[in-house]
Amino acid sequence: MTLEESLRALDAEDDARVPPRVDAAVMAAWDTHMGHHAARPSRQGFAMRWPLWVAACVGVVVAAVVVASRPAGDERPSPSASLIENELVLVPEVADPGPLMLMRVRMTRREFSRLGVPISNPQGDGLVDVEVLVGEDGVARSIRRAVAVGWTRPNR
Amino acid sequence: MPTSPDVELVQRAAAGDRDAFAAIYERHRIVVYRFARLMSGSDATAEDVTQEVFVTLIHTLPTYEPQRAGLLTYLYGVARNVTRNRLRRDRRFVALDTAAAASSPLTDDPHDAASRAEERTLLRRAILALPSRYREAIILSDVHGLAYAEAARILHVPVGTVRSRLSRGRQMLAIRLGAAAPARPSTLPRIERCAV
Repeated sequence: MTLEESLRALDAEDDARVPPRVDAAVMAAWDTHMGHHAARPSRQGFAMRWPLWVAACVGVVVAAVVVASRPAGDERPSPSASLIENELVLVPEVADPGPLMLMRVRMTRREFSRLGVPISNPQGDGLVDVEVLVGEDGVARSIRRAVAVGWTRPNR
Repeated sequence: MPTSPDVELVQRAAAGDRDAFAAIYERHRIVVYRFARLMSGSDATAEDVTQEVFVTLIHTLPTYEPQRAGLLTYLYGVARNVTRNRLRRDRRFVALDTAAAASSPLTDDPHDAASRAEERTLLRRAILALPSRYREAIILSDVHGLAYAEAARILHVPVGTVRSRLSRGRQMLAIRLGAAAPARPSTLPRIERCAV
């Protein structure tokens, strides 16, 4: 047998097979890649939703300002009541958060307490800057951080 | 070499058809695996290379242009690059040479089977000892039977360069095999049947 014949026979007689684990890994890579692509929102869809996002943000901020500027009568924070001292950090407990957006809004303590967050002096008229994590569907997933920033009017 | 079925499969796979990609993988995995195995002399490296080649294909399907190169040519090219990078990276390690000790197919004559297995082992070792530019030319053209033009496209060299590398590679192989079997330098050494 010549060298050329031996070389050709080397491939013909090669009984090597690709192990099943390689097959599984390649197809898993395909599934992961395609799943990732399917889950990724399209640019067009994101662009279409942008006005809604802006409108939602503006609405929340306007509502907060309107509520905060209403006369509160004699309602004053009690001298003994303490503010959220400076900052309240809430760790989001979201099982499968997906893509999230951070939205910063300012609201009164009253509005903030209505969200179900326990704070001191919930009827006070101080303001709170809140960082809200919002999912792509527009639903708030969690409050990331809240900071007391002051009062709607002089606190005397 | 299959071309038009590949083009159709690639188009379907690029559109997200899992079965089409599975068919591509089924058609070409063994060629990629055997190429990497001969180039590296290692089953483990061949497995890694095969996986990496097809993962690369997954990511490049949308940009792959069938008119520039057939799918098999493209896969050979990726396999060549991946194997070279892998060998360069693993140069400091010593291969266990698992591929060279491959099992031989069963035959009726155990002496003949042993002889052929020994031949294959010697030949694989001789190929593995070649410099990579000669090794890949020998594997593509002489072992896998690709045309010179096809090998030239995969190796990104002119056809004349493929011819010269083949010529030189065959000479080196003959010398190495001749050194292994000084009694018959022009052919592969064979284990003769003994009376006792």
